[in-house]
Amino acid sequence: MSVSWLRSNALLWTRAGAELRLHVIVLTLACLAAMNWSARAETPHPFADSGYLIHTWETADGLPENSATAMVQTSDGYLWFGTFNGLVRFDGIKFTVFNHFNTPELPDNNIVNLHLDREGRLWVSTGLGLVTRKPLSAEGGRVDWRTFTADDGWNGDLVRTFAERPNGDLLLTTFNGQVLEFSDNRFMALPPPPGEPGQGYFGGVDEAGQWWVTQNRFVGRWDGSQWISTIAPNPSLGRSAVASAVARDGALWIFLGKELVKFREGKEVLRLPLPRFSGGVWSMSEDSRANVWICSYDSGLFRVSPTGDLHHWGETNGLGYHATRFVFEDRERNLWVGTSGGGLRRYKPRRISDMTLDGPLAGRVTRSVWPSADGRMLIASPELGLFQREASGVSRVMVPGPRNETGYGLSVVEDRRGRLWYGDMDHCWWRQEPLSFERISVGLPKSANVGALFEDSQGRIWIAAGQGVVTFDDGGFRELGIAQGLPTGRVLCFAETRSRAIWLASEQGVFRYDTGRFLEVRGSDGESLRDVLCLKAEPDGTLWMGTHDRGLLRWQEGRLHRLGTAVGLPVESVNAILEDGHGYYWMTSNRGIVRAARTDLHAAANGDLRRLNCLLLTASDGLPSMECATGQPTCVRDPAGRLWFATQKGVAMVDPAKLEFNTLPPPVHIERVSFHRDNPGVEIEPADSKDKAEAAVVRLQPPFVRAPELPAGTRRLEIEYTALSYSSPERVRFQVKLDGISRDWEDAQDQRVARFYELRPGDYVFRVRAANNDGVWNETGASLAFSVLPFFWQTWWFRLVAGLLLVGLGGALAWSWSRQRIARAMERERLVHETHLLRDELTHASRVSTMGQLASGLAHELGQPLGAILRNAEAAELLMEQAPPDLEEIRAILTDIRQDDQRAAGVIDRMRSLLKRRPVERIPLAVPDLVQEVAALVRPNALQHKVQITLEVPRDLPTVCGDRIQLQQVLLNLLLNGMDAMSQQSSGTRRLIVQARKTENQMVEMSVQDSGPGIPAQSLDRVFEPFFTTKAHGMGMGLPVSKAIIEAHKGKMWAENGPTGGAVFWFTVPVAKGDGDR
Amino acid sequence: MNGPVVYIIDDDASYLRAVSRFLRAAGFQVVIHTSAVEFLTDLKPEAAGCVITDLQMPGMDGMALQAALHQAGSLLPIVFLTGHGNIPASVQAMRHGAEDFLTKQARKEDLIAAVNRALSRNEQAIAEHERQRALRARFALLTDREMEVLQHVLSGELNKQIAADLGIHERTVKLHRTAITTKLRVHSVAELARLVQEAGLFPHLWQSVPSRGQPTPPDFPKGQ
Repeated sequence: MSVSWLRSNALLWTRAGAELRLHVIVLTLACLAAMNWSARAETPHPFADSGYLIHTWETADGLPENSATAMVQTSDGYLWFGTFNGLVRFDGIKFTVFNHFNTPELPDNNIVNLHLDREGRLWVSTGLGLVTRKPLSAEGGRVDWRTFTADDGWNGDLVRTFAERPNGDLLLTTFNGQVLEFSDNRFMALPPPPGEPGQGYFGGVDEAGQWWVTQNRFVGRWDGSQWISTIAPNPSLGRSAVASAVARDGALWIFLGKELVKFREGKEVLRLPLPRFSGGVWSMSEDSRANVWICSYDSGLFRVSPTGDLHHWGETNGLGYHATRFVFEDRERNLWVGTSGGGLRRYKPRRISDMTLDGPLAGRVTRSVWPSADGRMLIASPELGLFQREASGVSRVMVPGPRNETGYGLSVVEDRRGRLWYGDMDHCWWRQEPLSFERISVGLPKSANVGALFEDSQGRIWIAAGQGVVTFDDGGFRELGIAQGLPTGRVLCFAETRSRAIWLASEQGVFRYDTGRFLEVRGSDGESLRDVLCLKAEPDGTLWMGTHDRGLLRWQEGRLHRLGTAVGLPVESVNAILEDGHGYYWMTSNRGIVRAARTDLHAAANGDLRRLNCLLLTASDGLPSMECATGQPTCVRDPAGRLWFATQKGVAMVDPAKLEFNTLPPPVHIERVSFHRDNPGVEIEPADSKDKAEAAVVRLQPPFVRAPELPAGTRRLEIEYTALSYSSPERVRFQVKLDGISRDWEDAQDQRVARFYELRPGDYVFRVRAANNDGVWNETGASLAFSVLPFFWQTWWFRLVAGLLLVGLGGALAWSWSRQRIARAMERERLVHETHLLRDELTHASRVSTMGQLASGLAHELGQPLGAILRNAEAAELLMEQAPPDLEEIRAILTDIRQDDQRAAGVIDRMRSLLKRRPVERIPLAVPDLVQEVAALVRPNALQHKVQITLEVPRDLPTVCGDRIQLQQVLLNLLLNGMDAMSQQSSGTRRLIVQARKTENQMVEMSVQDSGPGIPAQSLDRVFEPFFTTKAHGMGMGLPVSKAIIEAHKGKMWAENGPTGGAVFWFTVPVAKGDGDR
Repeated sequence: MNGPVVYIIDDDASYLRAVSRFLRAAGFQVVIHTSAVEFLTDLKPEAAGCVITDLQMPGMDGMALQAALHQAGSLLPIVFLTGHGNIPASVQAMRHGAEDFLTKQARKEDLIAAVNRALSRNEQAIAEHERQRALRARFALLTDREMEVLQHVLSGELNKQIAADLGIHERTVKLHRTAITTKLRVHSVAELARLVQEAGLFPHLWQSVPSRGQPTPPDFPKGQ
């Protein structure tokens, strides 16, 4: 394989990889007889996989290319890794890509290898050359790039390995077999080591600072003048079967294909045989837990534990792709695995093990766990029944039911005598001898839902049995329920306090069983505690209660204290409380498991601690499901002190003694400041106006050498920041503060950008701090001082000048204004007068228009007497013709005629009085008379329209003060409107009710209610608007004028829809003075 | 009381009194009521004459009274009076067979003419009613089977068809036909049809083409 093609065309690189692989496969086939193939088919240790939580980032997650070739973590905390499409900086969430286009100093986008030297320089080996990147210095300014050329003595190829002496000298090995030393800023090629160039050597350095190279034909060191062979590898294993890596303790690991050898000070100190290993090695490294990781470019990833156990991840168990490039450990001890084509992976050590990851219960719902005396863990699953976990794995415990059912396990307990108790959805079983389950029949109906089992200090078994409780002791089974004062309801859990009183929580509340009776324990307001899910008794008699959505309750000496999210409890529901023997309570919930110190909980309940310091363990720590089981027992501590939890997706286990914490405060950085002059409401610009939008935005990136000055008129400021914690970046929390605006830190949750709008001119300091997933804060955080410049009119001198000008102008204005005021007052007088005239005119016009509506009724009203007069007169004429005339009858006729004439005149009078234009007067008026006169006026219309009018006006109402005609106009208008409203409905249902009553505040309130369709809700507040009408012929002035009349009377008028449908119009009129007592 | 009676109904006592005085003086027999319900309660089925009623009254109004009389099969024509002309109401009333529609101040000649017209129409109606009753009495002589055959004859069927439909011998059909013509004293099918129509029998037979003198046979399903 030649060197030049690699230089000439970087694209061929991938082809080279393929050729390389092909080559190895051929070699492998040749050596088939010597290989142990069982290594490929090795079955992983049953729970070895639960050691890490594996997360993958691929192009879909933001990677520029689906490979990661090498990784370093710079002193500022960022992770950097190379891809075949650029150099990437990663903060746990966001990938920032540096490539040839945005960073011209990078010769090529193929990043082959990376190294971070002691001075903090980043060495980047690309497809087209080697460059270094010097970090930003605090006062510095620019990033310093350096490209190595032949002038520097660099004639190398793609760098395969970097090794560094404590004094900073570097050894670089390249793929074309060169070995170069970098010292005093110059490269010097070392003579080619024995062997063949092949794919190059692995370089290394031992604690004495001597260079080592490793290859299939030569493993040895450079003594300053020549290569000295140290160990003879087996050349038949193939070129890529050997590797070396510098150990954590400074020693050197040499991998010889089938064994791993450790050299210290030139001497072999350890040799681990690895007969089952196979594959070609790309790189090797050791992590802080003393595991040696071997990355194979064709067989996946291998881990050699300190005891020499070999574990393999391949395409069948957690690795999507076989070509692995590196394993890198960050400061938080997460392992990063780079692959060629399979993306970037994070191997995070689990803090919680999934104990049912393999076997029949994998991912299944579990409700109860209990350790048996012989070291097994019993598990009840509502889906599958009763199981046990032994060292060899999870297996079923047969419960011989009537139909050999698997059962729906809810709870399981082994008592101190070794008897097994098992509750399922239908029954409860107990077993005294192996394989002799018996069903308990006392007090247990079918569908008993035995969700809780408990053994008290006396050895008595408590069984939550459907709607009550069954106990078992030497006297046999006994049913407890209403007879003992326990209301019917599902029982959720039991607890025993020091005084041997048994407490239980049910759907009905919390009860204490003492001397044969249940007594309810109530809250401080006497309320039943119906939301309690679990109970935890302390030796001193204190009882903790976990609730459904109120957090924790502490019951101590008859008093309740609540601990909720307000004091920092990160969850609202507490399903179970478990003590770990180290002074901590572990509380399960539907959002993970919370650990809090018992003393802290008491201090918070006593009010001595304002904020709890809790550890929250979630799926990101390995919890199979955030939702933990409810019931009893859902979590237990086994004799070894490990804690077991039943969850919705299997059983989780934590060893509190070995729990690791992320104690590293996350470095905080401000990544970008952008300020906008545009409208802050516009977030997304259309594509075509992108340039315009860009122009309105100015973006600044670190280093911020001087405090940025934001130009006057900046309307929106965005500050993007980050914190570098890679264990659970999504759980990193931020707090921000803007000196000059706020005094207190403000919770920004997981937001990584702060936005400020319309900042006033002035100087500001933005501060941000962050906490990692375990709540460890970087109190220093990061800060950025900046200032917003004022416009010239926001400066003090401008304001002074403007103020003086204003005073002058004000004086001039005042003079001119006083002159105008007199003229305006006169004009106003005239307008008021005209308005009055107009209003009177309008009122009258409206009245005339209303009378028009009465016309047909009045015609009828007049028709009666006129018709009668006519007929009487005609009758009299006929009678006069008779001989002799019936004078008696004629006299009666004349009497009738006179009466009818008076009747007709009355009708005309009533009309005329309403039509007359006359000054408004305010006199005391009797409401019943007022109403009855109007009712008489509309009676013909009512008759015509078949409307029944009911008057509910008490005679003893006080008189009101007002204008008779105007008030009658209002009533008339309302009655006629009501009739109109009902014209569309069947005649039997047309009713108008007029009511009047006296109110508290010296008013008479009157209402007119119709039985029509009511006023549409959207028109309810418009009916009083002028020209608003729903009638075909209406003018829309009746109601506005009515309202104006009532308001002129110092009353109010409003409309609403009655409870039984129909519209109700209300108005009030003040009671006449001196008549308020009636 | 013999002879036709003018029944006057009005809720306005004054006008009721005046109009009854006038009509009585004009020589009519008059009975007055202040409400339609009161009138209907007192009304005898054989009453002859006419009704003068106010159109607008509380409770049952003139229009409702008209409907009630029609329903009861009364032959009394109605003259409506109203305080003032109300066009829609008058159109409706006329459509339902009101004799006349007058305002309360109508000329006395018009009122008397209207009453006379109503009375004479009532007389005719009674006579027609009587004739029809007599006609039906003749048809009552027919047996059920003869009525059945009659219906088929009117449908225009031949004896052979009738015999087949009714499942009897053709000669029996002829015997039935002879009995029908004898009892009804008619000589032709056309005469028979006219008689049936006048008596208002088998109305469904005439509905399709009432204008033609001779009934056309509608589509009867076989075996009916």
